[in-house]
Amino acid sequence: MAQLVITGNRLQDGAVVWRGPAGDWSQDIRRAAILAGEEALAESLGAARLDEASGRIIGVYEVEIETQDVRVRVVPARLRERIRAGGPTVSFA
Amino acid sequence: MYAYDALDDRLVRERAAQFRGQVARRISGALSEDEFKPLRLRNGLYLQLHAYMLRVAIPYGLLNADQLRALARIARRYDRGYGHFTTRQNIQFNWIRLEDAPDILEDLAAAGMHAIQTSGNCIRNTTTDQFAGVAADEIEDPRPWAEIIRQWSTLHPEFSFLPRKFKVAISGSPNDRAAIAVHDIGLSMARAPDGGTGFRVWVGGGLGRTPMLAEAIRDFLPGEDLLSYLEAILRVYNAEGRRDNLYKSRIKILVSALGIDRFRELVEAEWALIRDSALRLNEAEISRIRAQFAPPAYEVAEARQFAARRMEDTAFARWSTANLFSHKQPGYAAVTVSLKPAGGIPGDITANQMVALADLADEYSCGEIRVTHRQNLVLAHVRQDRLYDLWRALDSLDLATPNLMRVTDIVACPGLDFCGLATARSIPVAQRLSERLAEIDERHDLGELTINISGCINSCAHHHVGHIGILGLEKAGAESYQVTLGGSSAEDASLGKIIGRGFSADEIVAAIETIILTWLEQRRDGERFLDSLRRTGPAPFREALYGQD
Amino acid sequence: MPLIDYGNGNPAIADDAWTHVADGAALPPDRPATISLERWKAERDGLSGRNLPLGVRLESHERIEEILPDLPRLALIALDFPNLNDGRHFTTARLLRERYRFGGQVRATGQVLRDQIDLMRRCGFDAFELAPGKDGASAAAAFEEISVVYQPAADTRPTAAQRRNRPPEQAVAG
Ligand code: SF4
Repeated sequence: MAQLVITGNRLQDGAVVWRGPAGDWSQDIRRAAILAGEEALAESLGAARLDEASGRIIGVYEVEIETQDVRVRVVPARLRERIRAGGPTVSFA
Repeated sequence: MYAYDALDDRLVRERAAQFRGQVARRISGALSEDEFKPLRLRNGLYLQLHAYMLRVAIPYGLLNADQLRALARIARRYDRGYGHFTTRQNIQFNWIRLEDAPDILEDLAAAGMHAIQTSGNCIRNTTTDQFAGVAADEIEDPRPWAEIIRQWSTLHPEFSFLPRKFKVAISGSPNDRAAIAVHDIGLSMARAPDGGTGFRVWVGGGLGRTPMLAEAIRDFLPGEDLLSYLEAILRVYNAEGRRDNLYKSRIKILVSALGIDRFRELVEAEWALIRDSALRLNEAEISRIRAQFAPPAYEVAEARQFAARRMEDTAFARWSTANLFSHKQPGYAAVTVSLKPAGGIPGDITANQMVALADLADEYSCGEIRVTHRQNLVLAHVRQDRLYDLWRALDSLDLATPNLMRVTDIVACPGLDFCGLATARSIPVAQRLSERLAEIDERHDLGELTINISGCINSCAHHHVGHIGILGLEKAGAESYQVTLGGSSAEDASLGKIIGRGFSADEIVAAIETIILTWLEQRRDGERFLDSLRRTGPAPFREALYGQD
Repeated sequence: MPLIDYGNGNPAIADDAWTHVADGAALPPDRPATISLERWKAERDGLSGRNLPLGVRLESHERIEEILPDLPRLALIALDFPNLNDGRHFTTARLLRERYRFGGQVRATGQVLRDQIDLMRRCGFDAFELAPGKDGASAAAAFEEISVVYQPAADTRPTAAQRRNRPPEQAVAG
């Protein structure tokens, strides 16, 4: 079973945030709650959508993470999400 | 250049205040995200991967020095000290907070700027030739007409919710430097037999998933009828364009589905009914706007010193060969300021560079800066005897890379490092390529060779019309780059053709190098890459890339 | 559903005198009513005896050109906006006013939001049924937000170019 975390962007500044175990949202993916199983996902997504409806967070969805070493590092499977978690891969300005 | 009068000024200030109200209603929860999104897009505000991105309009690519300083202040105060120029002659800030956006719009309004309709399914910024008003081959300066279109399209009540975005480009010269063939409407200035000014009109060009070149819809449109004809085209499109499928909603799909002749019939029938209306431009308003684009007061400049400097300093000679465009005023030149240093991010500029460049524009070029659709800047009116001093100043700012239209003058969109729609990164590929290719160009003098890199099929970097085009895709979870050869956006416009299977991020630089080395074997005296390719066809390149299979 | 009536040149929150009647349902005996375009086409002859004002509702893909000869019999045309992106009826409204000289009410229905109604008014709409849950009183302020217009449209506001090029004695500052 894939392991998942839930993400979105903060309304006020657009920052990438990850949903923690207590329903908090953090910019640090290491604080994200790691979900396994349909039930855990459905429950967390449901709660996250409430934050979306209240307008704090926009564009909520789940992201698959690589399963190795999740206690040490949380690494999304897709490059897009790795870039969201870690910032641009180029140094700018 | 055009200066806002009290009415223009009031409109942009009112628009900023209106957006402040919309943002407040969004934050209070009165507006849902679904309701708010089309509103913020109409003010140029996107949600990207890491933050909001604000796209500021630079109408037909023209800025004065104070406006560039205002952009520098915005970059410092609200962003991370830099901005990114796009292929549509606009500038983007990548790290904007929603809460700050109303203040930024207000600051822009104070400088005579706005972000109106830089996104959304509406009429976007009209683009033109960066050498407008300067080029000797010009029939007429297209900028007054572009300003007329800007005003007409701003908050147009009927065309603010079109099937899809809509882009107009206008060229003053038969030598097309505005890529009109790949726009929804392309206008090319023309003269009537009696000497009156007007346009040849093209319609239905565009890139993206289904790239198409525009077709001619009208051979001559009198200038005074410009707005009624545009309104007729837009009205037919608004009523008939597809709304059921995002990928089939551009006007090019409608034109090709109906055929240009049927489409023309519909437009002409509509036009006949609205031609004699308040849309007809009156001479007083045309003259008022034209007067603001009058050429600056040129001085008598002498060229001898320029020639002497070129002899003395080979680096200067190289730059002046690559980055100058001849000016219709004797003794002057138009200078392209390259935003493409080897290994840099195409189109990026720091706030410090903006301020320094604004000062140089004041000192050397009548206080005016232009943005090109290849993500560079232009100082359009420089005395030739002052070029050497200007070059030294630009060089010290890292803005004097001598590579205009050369292989390292790469056009690249933000790609997956920033853009929410991207399927692969563009910037790192551009960086690695420009570093590698700078050496090859140094050794072999590759001449004119354009590379365009888009991070997804939306084709913001116009990869279909690069001599070499690169499109970043996602294949089985990894970046994959598809290469097209033979595109051009000039008056000999053509769409590049896919050469074969795509390349991984690790392979792509070597693949482009192989293409260029293969060309060097085929190249006849001084030939451009594009000319050789048109002569030989793709076979030698295919073989070099993929072998005999 | 809040109704903003702009018929008198000023926005007013109005009680709606009209009933939108579904296909197959009976018309009210005592109130003005709108029916769908399809129903109008099927029943128009039979409705000629009715003495109360009648209106026709058009969905976003439907064309007013289908019933041009009938316009003198109609007191209201309701143009539906199914979502925020479908702008076809901005064109319909302008044609109704500017080309077909329709003098009755042109009403916007469906997903009608505060932030579109000023543009709608410029196209000739004079009544707005706001989307459910939207506050009509605060929406009426939307008509005041932008005072400069660049294009001639169905309203009579002078465009920026017209204001600029007036003879000097008539010119209004700013
Ligand atoms: S081409 Fe795609 S990735 Fe690049 S800027 Fe456009 S939408 Fe984004």
